[in-house]
Amino acid sequence: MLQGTLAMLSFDIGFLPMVLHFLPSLFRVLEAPPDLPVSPSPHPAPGRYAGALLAFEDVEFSYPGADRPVLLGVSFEMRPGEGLALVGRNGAGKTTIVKLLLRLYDPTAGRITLDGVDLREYDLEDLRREMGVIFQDFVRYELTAGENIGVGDVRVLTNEWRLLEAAHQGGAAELVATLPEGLGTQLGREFGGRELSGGEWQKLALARAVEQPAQVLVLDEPTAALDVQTEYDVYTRFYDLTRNRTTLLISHRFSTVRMADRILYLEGGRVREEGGHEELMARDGEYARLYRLQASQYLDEAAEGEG
Amino acid sequence: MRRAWDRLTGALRGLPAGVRLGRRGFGLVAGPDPRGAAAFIGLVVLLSALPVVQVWLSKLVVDELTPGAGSSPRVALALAAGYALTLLVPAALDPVRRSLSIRLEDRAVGAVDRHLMEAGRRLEDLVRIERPAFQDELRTVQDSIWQAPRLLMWMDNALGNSLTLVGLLGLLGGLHPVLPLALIAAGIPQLFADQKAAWLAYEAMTRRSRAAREMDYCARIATEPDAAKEVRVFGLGGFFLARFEERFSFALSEVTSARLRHLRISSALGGIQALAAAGGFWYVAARAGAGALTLGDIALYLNAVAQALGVSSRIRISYAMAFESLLHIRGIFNLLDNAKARVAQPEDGRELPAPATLRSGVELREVSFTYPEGDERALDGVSFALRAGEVTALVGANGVGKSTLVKLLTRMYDPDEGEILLDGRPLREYELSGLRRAIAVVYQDFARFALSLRENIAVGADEPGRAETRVERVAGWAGADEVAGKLGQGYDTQLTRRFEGGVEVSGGEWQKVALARGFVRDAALVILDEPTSALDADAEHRLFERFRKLMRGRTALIISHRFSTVRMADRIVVLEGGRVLEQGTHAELTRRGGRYAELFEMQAGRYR
Repeated sequence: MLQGTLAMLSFDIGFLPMVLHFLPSLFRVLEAPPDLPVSPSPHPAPGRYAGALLAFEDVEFSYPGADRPVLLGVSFEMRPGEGLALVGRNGAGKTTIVKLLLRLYDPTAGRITLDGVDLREYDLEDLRREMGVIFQDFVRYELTAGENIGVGDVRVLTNEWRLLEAAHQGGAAELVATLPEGLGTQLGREFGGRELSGGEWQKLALARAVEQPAQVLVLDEPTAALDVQTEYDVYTRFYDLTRNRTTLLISHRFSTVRMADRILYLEGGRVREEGGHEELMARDGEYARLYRLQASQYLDEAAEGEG
Repeated sequence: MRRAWDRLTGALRGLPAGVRLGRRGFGLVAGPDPRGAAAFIGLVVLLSALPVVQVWLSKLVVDELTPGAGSSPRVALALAAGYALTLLVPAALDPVRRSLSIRLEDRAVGAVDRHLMEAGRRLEDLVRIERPAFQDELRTVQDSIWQAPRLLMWMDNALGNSLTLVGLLGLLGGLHPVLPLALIAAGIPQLFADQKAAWLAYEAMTRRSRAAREMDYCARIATEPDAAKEVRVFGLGGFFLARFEERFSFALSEVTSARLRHLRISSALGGIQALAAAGGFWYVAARAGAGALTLGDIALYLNAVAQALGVSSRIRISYAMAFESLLHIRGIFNLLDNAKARVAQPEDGRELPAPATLRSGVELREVSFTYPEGDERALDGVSFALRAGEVTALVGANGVGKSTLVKLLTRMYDPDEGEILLDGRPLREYELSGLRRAIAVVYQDFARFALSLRENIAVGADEPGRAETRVERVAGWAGADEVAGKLGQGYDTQLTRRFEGGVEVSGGEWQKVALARGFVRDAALVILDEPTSALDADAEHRLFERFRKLMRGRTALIISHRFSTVRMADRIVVLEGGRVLEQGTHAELTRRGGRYAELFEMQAGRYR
């Protein structure tokens, strides 16, 4: 009997080195410091960006491990309340600019300033609270419809009125109305909820972005999957949505881009053209060429029937 | 008493099925290494005999040393040396037994994993995979993968200890036949209690499977790169942590409460066996006092009972654990046995081969469909045709059922009503894998594989291993050649940053890769679901300049909200309210001034 007990004991002790070996790597993960440097005396984000200017100053960036930089010296300004559009080819670095603006990464050289102060000086949580965003690859949360909208600002998760208002603005009001339990409907297939189409998910993501009471609104391809009617409705309301907010819009649809106060054309890691739609068309550069190329597919009546 | 009797007879009735399951389960875990398993069992039998020999020798030693007739210290010394050997042999063989056991277990885990992947492959449609109940089952099985192979260890533990127990009881039977019977009968209630506790543990585990999945989901969202951006910007870490903790406390209470109660009962029942052992000792002592038994007999009784109590508690634990492993194995077998496609398969030998090119095309006749969990129809009597050699575009509001149609065309589901005909014959009469090979699909939510760029394209081919030469050609068609040109190792660059050395490309670049994946297959029917939503203006334009040429001799279906894309189709179908609202060419539909014309103007007008 003693023998059996001893055998069990040695069996248990046998596990010890394994556990001890595994512990350091566990603690390494658990106690990992934040990747981004934290300012020792963080500034609070300016309450109202009245006169606050967001500026990219010669910003360079390479992803860790990548062999070539994405941005090679990007400089531009976003003025308070202004609607800015960013255009460029696939892979030009448009989404990277969004990531830098939200401080998901820091520039490898140059700096981004708010009110003349480097973003790195601000309290991170404070700063992000002032930025609403819809990413191109937005998340489809396996939660209720209301939570899918409310996670943009968890403080309003229970405020049904606010959520419905956001749904309306994102073009999701009709969708929410058709759901069997409205805002309380579980979505996604994983837990037996209602599965939505790609475009319906995007409506909720858009509602999630506009629901945030942020001063800066970042929209990365916000309507790529939306049907024509919804897209039309959203852009008809666009001025309401972005009123009093600084907006950065990324899109390949020039009909949308042209509505912006100012347009930046990004190529080769730099801003190549900058100005209003009319201005850029008059300049007859890349922007004008791309605009005409796309418009011709709609307006060139000769193309009709040829297809 | 009545309940105990019912339990006993119930257990006996369930025995044949249990034995069958045990044999099949044993085959599952021992199958990958039958010789290792045989060696392992041989070793267990050998080691189990030793404690019996040990007890017997101890009695002989004491008897030899007891003053009296024929006692011999020299013989006693020899016997003592034998006793010592019974201690040394297991010590020498135990490392071998343990390494064998670990080897068997590792190989069994691998085998079960492989079986599950094969089962996943047999599920050729989405009917079961998209069901939450199936996901719950899968979650339980994920735990079972680790539990099941232990069957081998626990069964051998139980077997070895049982052999020891039989030997020990045989020795006790020499003292009085009732002694072993009483000891064994006194152990049975606790055995049943432990079995029940094991069953409860397994039940609780399957019940908390949903909660466990919700916990997994929270952990995944909070730590995986997919949602990392939003979680940080929206500050969602705390939200998901709170949800995790709530589900965790639920899962914990499910698992613990019932099981703890039963473990308490089991411990209490342990007293019965102790009573039987004590009663036996009183009897043996009395008989020795009367001179009917020797001192050696008392030594034998003490040794044997002490060993027997230890051995029977090990048997009980091993048996309960083996039983729990068997329950896990039963869950695995359930999953494996039910891993069959739910869409109907044509009878063997009667299936039609899929055509290399379509003669008449595809026709949908009054097709209706409701998702298994859905409460309303996704499609409600849809009829239209994809004519052979033509490009058909499908237009409609979000959620009208466009992507559902794609799932029906590829037989991920079958329609509830109506029919889909391919070259005049119902889709379900074609051999399924051949049919799928004849269709190339670029899904709206295409997969982003953590493979090289070349492999990401090649996986779309009939035979990915032999698509090498085609890959670079079709990449050019989709604009993915530009992506390759930008990457350090060209087509051999590892995509996604999931593994060290991989790179991430932009959303539009991924779409080009997905398009190339669709073109690499020499398919009769090509389906593109929102193929240009993220493409830049140049890329979209170039694609459609080439599209005609690419589609020569093929039949194509394009789903899009971009009318620049839609208008070049030969035929346009407008879906509304689950039905076809209007169809025709771009010219016909714009002249008609209906819904299509209205939608086109909404988009085109913004360019004027």
